[in-house]
Amino acid sequence: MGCTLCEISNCFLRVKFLCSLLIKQGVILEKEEYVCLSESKPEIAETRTKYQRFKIKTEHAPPRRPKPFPFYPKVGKMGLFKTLLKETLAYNFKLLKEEYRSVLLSRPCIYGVFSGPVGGFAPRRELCTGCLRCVQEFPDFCTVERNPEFNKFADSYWQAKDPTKESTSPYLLIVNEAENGKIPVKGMGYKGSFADQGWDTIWTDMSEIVRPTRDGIYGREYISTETFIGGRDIVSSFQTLTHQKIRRHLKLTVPIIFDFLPPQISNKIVIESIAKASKEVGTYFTATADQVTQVRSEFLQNQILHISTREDLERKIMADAVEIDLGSILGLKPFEEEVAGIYRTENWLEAMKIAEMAKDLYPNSVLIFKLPLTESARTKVVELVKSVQIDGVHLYADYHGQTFADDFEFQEFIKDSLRRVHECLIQEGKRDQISIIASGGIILAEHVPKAMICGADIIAINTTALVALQMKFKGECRNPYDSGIHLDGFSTQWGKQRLVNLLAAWHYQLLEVLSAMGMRDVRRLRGDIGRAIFKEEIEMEAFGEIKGFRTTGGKKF
Amino acid sequence: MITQGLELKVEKHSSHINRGIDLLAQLKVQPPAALGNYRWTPDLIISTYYQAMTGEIPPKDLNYKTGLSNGGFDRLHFDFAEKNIDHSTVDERSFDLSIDLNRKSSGKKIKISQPTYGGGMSFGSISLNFMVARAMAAQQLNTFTCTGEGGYPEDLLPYKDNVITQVATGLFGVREETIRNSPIIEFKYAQGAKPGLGGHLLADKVTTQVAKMRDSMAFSSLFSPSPFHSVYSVEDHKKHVDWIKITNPTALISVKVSTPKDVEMVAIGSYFAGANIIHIDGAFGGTGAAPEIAKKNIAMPIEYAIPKVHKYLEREGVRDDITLIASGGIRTAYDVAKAIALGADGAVIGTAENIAIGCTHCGNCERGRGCQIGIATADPELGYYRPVDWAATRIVNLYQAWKKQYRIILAGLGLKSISELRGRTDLLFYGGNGNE
Repeated sequence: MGCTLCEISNCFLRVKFLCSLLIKQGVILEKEEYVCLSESKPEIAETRTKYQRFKIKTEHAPPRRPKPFPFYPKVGKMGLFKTLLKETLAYNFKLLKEEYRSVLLSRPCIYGVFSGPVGGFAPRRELCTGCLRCVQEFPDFCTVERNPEFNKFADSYWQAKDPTKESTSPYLLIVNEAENGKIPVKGMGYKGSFADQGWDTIWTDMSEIVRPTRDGIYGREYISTETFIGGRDIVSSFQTLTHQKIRRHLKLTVPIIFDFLPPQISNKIVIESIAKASKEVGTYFTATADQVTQVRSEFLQNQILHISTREDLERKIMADAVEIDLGSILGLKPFEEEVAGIYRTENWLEAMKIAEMAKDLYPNSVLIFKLPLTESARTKVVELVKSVQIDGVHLYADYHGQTFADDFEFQEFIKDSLRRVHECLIQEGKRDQISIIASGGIILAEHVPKAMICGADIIAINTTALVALQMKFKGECRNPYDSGIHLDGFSTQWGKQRLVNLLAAWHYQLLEVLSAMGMRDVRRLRGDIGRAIFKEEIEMEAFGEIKGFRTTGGKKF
Repeated sequence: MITQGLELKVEKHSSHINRGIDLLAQLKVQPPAALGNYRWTPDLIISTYYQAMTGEIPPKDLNYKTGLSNGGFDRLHFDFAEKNIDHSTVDERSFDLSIDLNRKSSGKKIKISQPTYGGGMSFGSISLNFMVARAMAAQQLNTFTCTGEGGYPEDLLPYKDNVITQVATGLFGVREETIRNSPIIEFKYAQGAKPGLGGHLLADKVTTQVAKMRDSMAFSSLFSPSPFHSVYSVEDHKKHVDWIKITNPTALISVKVSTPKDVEMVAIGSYFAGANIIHIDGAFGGTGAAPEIAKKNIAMPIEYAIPKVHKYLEREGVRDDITLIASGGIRTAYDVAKAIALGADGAVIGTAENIAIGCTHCGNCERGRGCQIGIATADPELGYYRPVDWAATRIVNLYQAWKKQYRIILAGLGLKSISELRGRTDLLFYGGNGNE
């Protein structure tokens, strides 16, 4: 009996040790994180009682200006009048009975388009869902057109590609998500084009049988979206494990942060809303020291300090995390074609020196270097990681997801360049040394898992936050410096809630994708191209033998 | 119980809607600019109305063959040896459009007269009238329809020889008698429109009757688990098959799965677990409600999955022992024929049947009272808007028109049976979008 008890006791201790080990390595991340095994070891039971399921609290945040509506019902007034007259005469004295009156007044719209005081004579167009029942009932004098104003709210990247065939747009989706924080659910199947370009050419995988659940029911595992910014050192033996110092890192509840928004497209209210939302959700935002001077310090715990000038770099402001825009410090205008020149030898040597200097100036901060995505970015990122122990690299494309190119390179969509950087770091054995933050053209919830599959650890959102806040676009906005976005005022409480709702909706959608893939941890998604279906590859496999496929290359006609 | 006031309302709106659909079908009124999308273009919707109204092939000025999605079926075309064949010159008796649903040497032989049957649409997601109309049409056409996962309403019993009982992950309405009723039992592991997420029926549509059928609470949203929480392997799936076989030893087994990257492995596993039919449902399939993120982004379109599975089953030497059925975005007779040319034996049709009885593909099925003209609804009033006989006739008409198109396709390709077309990718070419 005694022996059995000893065995149980030993077994318990082994399990406890293993759990602590996993927590330390970041395999398990609980609410409370334990830094080192040599410190006091909290009881597992205690941890359990402290565990809380992560949930972002949403609250309805109504739009502050009318939302775009895709449909425009039109009713011929004479036709409507004649129909009403005809029905009245047909029912005649029967109209004294309530049921006949209700039949006469029953309207051909269950969504309330004709529910105004004068019914079809003044339709409430914003309520139209495009069901077309009115047209089916009265095709002689009812029709529903596409709203010509529908696409005027944002630039081309945010619009419906062809408003004569589409009744939704990225802009409308984000505005709705920011309003209610819910997953958009609709009936009927997919209505869009097959898989034209960009993120649409990737499908995430699913599993028929192995699957955790989004809600932890049926005894299956919860899904974690927790992740971190910062590198990890590979531990090769248990002896070194207990003495090894864990590298500093930032822990995020969702793999999404708010990107740096320069003053051209942000103001105090925007920054404060973002800061508050970051704190509430448990993620981070990037801003300069000047941008947050008027934000209360309690909301600045989640700030990543953005530095884009040499003077700011040398100010040595205390910060948990610092993002250094190497191109800007070198005087290369970010988002412009010239920024691709950062990887030219003379510029790159200077950039490396700045990186070294930053390492000395900010020894206790998580160091992130912001670099433009270009064709040659992959080798340079590896070089940077090898030379300077950095924690993260922020690779950015323009706001439409296009990478940068100078005379010797070509532009492409962010997904391809990102994938190459990730693969190059793996080949060099350096991938786990840094986190990759990606931004540019990642504007919808579905883009997040796809960008992660292409190699990103974290996604930084920019224009999406502004769309959630219902900012107005003035023409194209490919970068923050062309001032394509019009700023206006609102309360920070409203702004915060819109952004919290947005993150909640994205968090839920990320859970849906992970659930379908059978993954219980968002970090597993990073670079897992084996769990994605790429159009170019699958189409060649399926249609390669079919006449005309290779000659047209599957290209769009 | 339908009251007089309700009866009057139903009569008024129903007759107006039916008249309007016919006017649109004949192009006597201008189709509204808001009709259609890339996949279901205005031409496809109007031509489906036309076929459902007349049972005839639509006039040539309507593109009734392809959509404008710029990919998949819309860029695959037949390389006809003989073009512009007129159906009146085709001898109907010389073409065999039937397919076997059990290709194994053992078990009951079931042959359907056309290469399609109706997909699962549950009670609650669609109205009872539509459900019964689909069963009635299936009986007349010697094919099948499927219950979906919402149970087996008694009104379907007169057509039980043509109704497939679906056993889905929520097991809603699954009972021993409903399994005994059916000649085919379909296990639904996943659905193309929401792969890996389980079924959704939002609270508004869970009426008292729907809740009773599903043994659940009224007006409380129902989410099927994903996947079967008793299945973690092909071996576990085999146990499910055994359970069905104990209850109904003669039933054929169909396994409905989505299209993951390893769909061919799932197919072969299902075969070895005893399936007669492997039903793959592609990413662009229809649904009563699904997260938008799932429809577009999870799992591959059916056009890619069919050749993948077909070739793999061939390589494994079991292709002729199993029936491969494709679904998810198959909208027209031409899509069906292309799916077969890519390697399927036949197809399952859902949305086209909805369109046949007046659906506009607006996608409002999930909200509030559901479909505004009584197709995808659980609303007691709207449910009466589609009369059973009227709807059944239109579905039959649609398939009669499709049969004419299959014969024209076979004649143009110099084939005599639809089975001969299977896997003949050499008869296809990859070209422009739609009719380009």
